[in-house]
Amino acid sequence: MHLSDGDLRAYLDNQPGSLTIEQARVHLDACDRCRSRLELVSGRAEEISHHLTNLSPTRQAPPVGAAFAQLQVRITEKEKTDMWKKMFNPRYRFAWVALGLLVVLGMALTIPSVSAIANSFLGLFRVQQVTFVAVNPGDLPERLGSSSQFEALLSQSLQVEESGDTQAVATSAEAGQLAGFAVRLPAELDSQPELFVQPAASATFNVDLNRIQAILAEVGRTDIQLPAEIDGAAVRLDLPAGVSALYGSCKADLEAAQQHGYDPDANVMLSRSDCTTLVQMPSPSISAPPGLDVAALGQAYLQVLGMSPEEAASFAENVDWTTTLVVPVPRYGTTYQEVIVDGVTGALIQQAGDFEYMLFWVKDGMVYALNGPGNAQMALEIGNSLK
Amino acid sequence: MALTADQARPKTADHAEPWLEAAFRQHWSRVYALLFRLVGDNDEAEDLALETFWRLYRRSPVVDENKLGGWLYRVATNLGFNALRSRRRRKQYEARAGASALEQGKPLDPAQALEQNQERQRVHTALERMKPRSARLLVLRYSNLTYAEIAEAMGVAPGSVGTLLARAETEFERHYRQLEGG
Repeated sequence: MHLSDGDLRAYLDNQPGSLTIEQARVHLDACDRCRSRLELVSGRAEEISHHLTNLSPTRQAPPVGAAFAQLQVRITEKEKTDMWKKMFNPRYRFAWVALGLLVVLGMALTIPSVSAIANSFLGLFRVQQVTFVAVNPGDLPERLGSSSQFEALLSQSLQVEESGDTQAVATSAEAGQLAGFAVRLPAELDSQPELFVQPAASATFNVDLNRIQAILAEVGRTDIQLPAEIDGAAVRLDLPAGVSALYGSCKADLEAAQQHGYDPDANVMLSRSDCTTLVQMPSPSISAPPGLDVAALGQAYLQVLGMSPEEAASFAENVDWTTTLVVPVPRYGTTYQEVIVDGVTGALIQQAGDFEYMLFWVKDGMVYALNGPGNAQMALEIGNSLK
Repeated sequence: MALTADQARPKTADHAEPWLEAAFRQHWSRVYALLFRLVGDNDEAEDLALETFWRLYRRSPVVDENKLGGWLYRVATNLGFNALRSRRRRKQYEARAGASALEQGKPLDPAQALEQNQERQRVHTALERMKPRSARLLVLRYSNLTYAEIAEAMGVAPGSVGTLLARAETEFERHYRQLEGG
């Protein structure tokens, strides 16, 4: 039995191979053939070392302090440009089959008075956490909805691509295979859910600054200033495939509502008698050209939502827009709180007087949105039972 | 509890976590040197090294501290080889390589510079012609990584590094000799 080239190579580097260094040495002392082979392996290694030495750096690495400062600059720039979401036409979102897309603005959609704005305005992205901003949007949603310029902006500047159709599947394993991640379902809900896999989708928004400013003028908000550099910028949102689990009477609720004239494109919340939905998907991502003044855009966004310029500036500067979903909720009539769910901090929103919740959290790169009838305790029990 | 503007907690690069700076200080020089070996250009190596640490920042805190070195060198070699493959400016690179030689202050005459440049080209080309896994291993080894670090970066058992390295060297030798002969 002789030493392999691998063992000999490891021996040359004073490292154990399949044998310890000592075992290899003892063998070499007694084996002419292996000693001869060792010379060959050693010669080859020396030659290659000589060749690769030619690739050695021609100067010292940049000083670590200065390099780390550069890294910090890079982090800041990339974090900023990684976050911008684009405008979404509400039509794409309220369709039942596109439920997966709702997760992006899911919580806001539970609040009719802000849903129009929330659906159609710049947000955050790479969702790792969520925070709230209390707003008083007044009649802005209605005014935006009636703006012809706003319609034109959506139709001309926004391209949405979906890769396939929503598929109904029989099992969570099948859903997971299609969506590309392990699907978790709440053990607390013992009925069999209807499962749907929403395809991945992407949307690109080409910023037309003149048109946006015209819209702001049309709705009487010439006080809102947008950074000039956003003009012409292409902002892309990538939504991974998601899985929706529907428990209870979801389909029946929708069909009943449609029989009574419910418009799925309208920003009106569907009344649910016994429908609980859980949507899960990997965190969406946003890419945009570097150099955008994200804080300025965020400030404009917050002003649109009803903040004063001073409030908006203060808030925008203190939010990590890269990772935080900033959810607008009405200043009045809504309660929202941070809760511990599924082992992480989540957000619970309830409307005053309504027996319904929206629970939202992000864990291990997955975004979860749970919506259904009940109180906070019921929401948490379901959320904590995901398996 | 509702968050107010004052309560919002930003996470910015200005507050870069101490772990990131510690990892950077520990591995920066070696990551840079490894990337230079791959791309042969100071500026590009520096850029790719920063990109490597940016990816570490984005991935945190997923990377186990004990596996940090292996993770960094794996990402760096991937970035380096990707850069090599996508390089469309080979002539520009050649010019830079010559400039790099001059940067050292070595009194190379044009013939020496040309010869050194051609040698680097051959080595890079031989690496590119190898199986990617073998080429990665070779670069890692000749960047003075330990077998344990190589094993971590390559996702193999430390005891198998010698065998893989011997194969990689044989493969490199074959490609290099073909280039010399050609």
